[in-house]
Amino acid sequence: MLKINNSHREIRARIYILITLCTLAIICLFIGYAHLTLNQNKRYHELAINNFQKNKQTRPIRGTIFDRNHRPLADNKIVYHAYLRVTDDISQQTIARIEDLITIDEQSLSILSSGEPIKSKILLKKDLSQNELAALGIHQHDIPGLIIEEELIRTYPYGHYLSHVVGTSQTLEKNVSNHSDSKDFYFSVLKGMTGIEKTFDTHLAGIGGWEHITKTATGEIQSKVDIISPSQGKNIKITIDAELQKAIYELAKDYNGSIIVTDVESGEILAALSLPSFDPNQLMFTHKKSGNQFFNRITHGLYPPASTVKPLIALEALNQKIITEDTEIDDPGFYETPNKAHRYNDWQKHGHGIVNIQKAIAVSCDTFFYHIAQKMGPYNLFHSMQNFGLGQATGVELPNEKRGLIPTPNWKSMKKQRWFLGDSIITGIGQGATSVTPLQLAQATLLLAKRGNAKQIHLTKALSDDTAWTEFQARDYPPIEYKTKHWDLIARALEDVIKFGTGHRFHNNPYRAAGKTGTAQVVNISNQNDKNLKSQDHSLFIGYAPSNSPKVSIVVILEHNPYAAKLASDIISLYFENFIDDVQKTVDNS
Amino acid sequence: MSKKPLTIHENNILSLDLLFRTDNVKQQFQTGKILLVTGLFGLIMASLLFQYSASTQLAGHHFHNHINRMITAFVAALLCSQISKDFLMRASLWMYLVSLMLLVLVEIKGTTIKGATRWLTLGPLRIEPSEFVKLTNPIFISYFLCLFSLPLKLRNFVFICAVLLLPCLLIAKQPDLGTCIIVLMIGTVQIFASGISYKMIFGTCSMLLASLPFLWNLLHSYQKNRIISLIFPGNDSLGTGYHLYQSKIAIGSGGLWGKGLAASTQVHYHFLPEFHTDFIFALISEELGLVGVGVILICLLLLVSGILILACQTECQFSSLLLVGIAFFFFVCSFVNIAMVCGLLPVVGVPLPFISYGGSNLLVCGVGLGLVWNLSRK
Repeated sequence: MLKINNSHREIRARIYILITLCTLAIICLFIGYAHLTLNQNKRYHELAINNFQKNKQTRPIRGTIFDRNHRPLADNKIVYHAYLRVTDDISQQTIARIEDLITIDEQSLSILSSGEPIKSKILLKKDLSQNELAALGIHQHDIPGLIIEEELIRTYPYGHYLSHVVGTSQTLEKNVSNHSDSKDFYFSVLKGMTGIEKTFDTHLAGIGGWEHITKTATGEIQSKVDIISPSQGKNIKITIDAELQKAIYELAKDYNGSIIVTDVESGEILAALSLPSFDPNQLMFTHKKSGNQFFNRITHGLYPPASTVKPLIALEALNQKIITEDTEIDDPGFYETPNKAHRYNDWQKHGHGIVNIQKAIAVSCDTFFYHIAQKMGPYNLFHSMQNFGLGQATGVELPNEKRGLIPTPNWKSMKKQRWFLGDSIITGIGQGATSVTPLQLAQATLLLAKRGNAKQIHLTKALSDDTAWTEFQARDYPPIEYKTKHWDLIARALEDVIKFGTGHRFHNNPYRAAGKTGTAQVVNISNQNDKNLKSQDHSLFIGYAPSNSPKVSIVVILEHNPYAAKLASDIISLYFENFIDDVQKTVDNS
Repeated sequence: MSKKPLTIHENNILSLDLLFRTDNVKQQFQTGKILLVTGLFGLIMASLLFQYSASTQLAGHHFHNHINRMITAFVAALLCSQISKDFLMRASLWMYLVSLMLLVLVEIKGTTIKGATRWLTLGPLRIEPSEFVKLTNPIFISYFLCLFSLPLKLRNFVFICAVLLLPCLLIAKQPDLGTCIIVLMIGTVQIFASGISYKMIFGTCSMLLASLPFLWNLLHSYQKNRIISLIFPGNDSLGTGYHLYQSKIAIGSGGLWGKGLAASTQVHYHFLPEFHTDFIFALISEELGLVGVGVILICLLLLVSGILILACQTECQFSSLLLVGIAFFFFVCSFVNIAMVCGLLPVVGVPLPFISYGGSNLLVCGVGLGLVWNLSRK
């Protein structure tokens, strides 16, 4: 068994070398650990703490939007989303199990099944139903990585009835850290995108807080402590009567167009519709917003005011003594320019016979206004309409309001075109390049009803402070100074419109109203296939009731449909019968 | 030499009576045993302590299981201590051949888990032959070395290298780079200890260096990734480097004194993976800091140098070389594990001897200790 001593001695020598090597190796390890634990302790200590503790910004509760009767129009609600946190490989088995419980979003499913590497977590389904939530809740503990997160979203109880006024909001992801790749630092904010939601975004938003959370590697939250509680956004009350709005919507839902009902005394907008409408509740989770129903006609719809401007032009013409109460002309059914080069037709082919100003408004005689327009010239025409707020933003609390246009020679010269007499003539009946928004017409109607001393139209009723409501004080509209007898004359003319003039469709209404119709010619027919519908002119109606002491004013614009006056009549009846208690029926006794 | 009363007797786990049965041992022999037993005692205490700490974060009878496995390992050690040395030498060739056969069998019809074919399924049992190779190979190498006159001649050296490389290549093909390197290291150290001439050592080393680029191409992509993530760990904290990254956070956040027993945040919030098995050293470092690390490293050094001193003192070459093999089995495993946990080496699935949770790990350690016990008995 025993071998040569020499070789054994060599073995011993080698073993001592090995012991030395071991000792050195151990020292190396110790130095490696000392470097980590002593030199880099601070850094790793922070990393360890950041692993499980986070200060996370919390979302404030957004303020509520109420209607004038304190009905909520935009409120908050909690919804639940399912996520899958990815720590290791996701087994197809897990996915199959989840699929048994909920239908996974197609996009997420394709990512999951493609086997692409996923970082952090992946959305399985948004807005879980009660049943899905219960099913997932039971299995949450045996499906690794399944997370259910709650989110506070905006809900709109009046949905499509009020979408264009109240507006929409959207959850935006905001990165608050410098590390673009660390998802944990993201937090979401609700931001108003359109309507009142956008105009009063800062008022409604509130201030975000901070919370301290501890969570595990799988994202399971173990504790949550508020450091700074988020402060709730402030509430806002708007002038809209949601039930009136809803009732009008039900009457008008088959039309395209816009309707605005305003309280004459205060300038408060009681109802404002843009048709067709959409449901903002279904918009929370999609960002797609294109289509006719998303176009806000209240602020963005530009229509030729057509004959509705005739009372305004008449007032200015009377004021400037271009015509008097007694001026009469003979209407053969057309107007010829002084040089007889052009002929402009009345809407009534054979004319209206002898007309004075009152009759001209009542029957909407175009020829009479061609004469006036020719005499007034473009700048007087411009002022007559501008006085009533046409062609300028009304300042209503809705974002990005359009200004519209009243054409002038200046405007044409900017386009490098000359101003012809014909331009004045067609401006005189509210056609041509003239374009206004429904809001501008609402303001003009209000001024007509109040004889030049009206409030500015507005949507804000009251803003909430921390404790109480502060009533919004409406500003006066710059007064229009015309003679009382002229105002009286125009008021009578507007009553005549209803009694025997173009507003005869309004005639059966028991409430004595005054108003003016208009028919806007549709110049460009964009859709040839849909010619039957599109080739129809727009119809407009502006008016107020009761005519002797106006309470409510109304603007109705129907696209490609002649029944604006009829609809206005129905709305007025509806309003007086259901939405006003203290008004005595001012039935037409005459 | 008269019986010297040993204080260790009172608080040991193994019955030291059996280990120190002989009366006529030399003084140096005693030194080796004292070092060994002290180190072992420290490691076993650490094992109990940290497995208990880990059990606070785990469901089930974790700590209970660990104790059971330790007892099993102890029984294995007892059994191994009773095998006669002659039998061991005669059986070594057969053990080598059987383990080689098993490795070939794995190659042919092994069970694949997570892309690696390392297991053989025999009914309810699933065995991992490469684990046996860690011990059968050193036994056979030491026997084989004794067959030649030492120091080795070049022809014999090549021959023995082939014997060593054959199982290593089979293991590397599974792929199980960690085990392959451990088996290779143990064999290399044994050959070195046998007194091979330095000329041959340098020759082999330069050949290896020259073939390094070729070896890199042989690696699997995940193995390459691990090596890359070792060099640039910050690049990819959720991918291949995630385990290492969290492990380094655990170690680094421990500081000098640690966060206290069972107070690891990395474990409590589940950031540290495999904290009771392969990554237990990170847990130790986080909970007891650099001081704890130092104590464990010293215990390891005591154990290994204790066995090596015993190897010096045995008269028999086979015993010497086998003891060197076993000492380096413990050392290389521990070194690879500890270096891997702190990012000095790539992540390979090697448990920490004595301390990591796991039946086979403790069993192999028990067998190894049993053999040490066996061979150091005169």
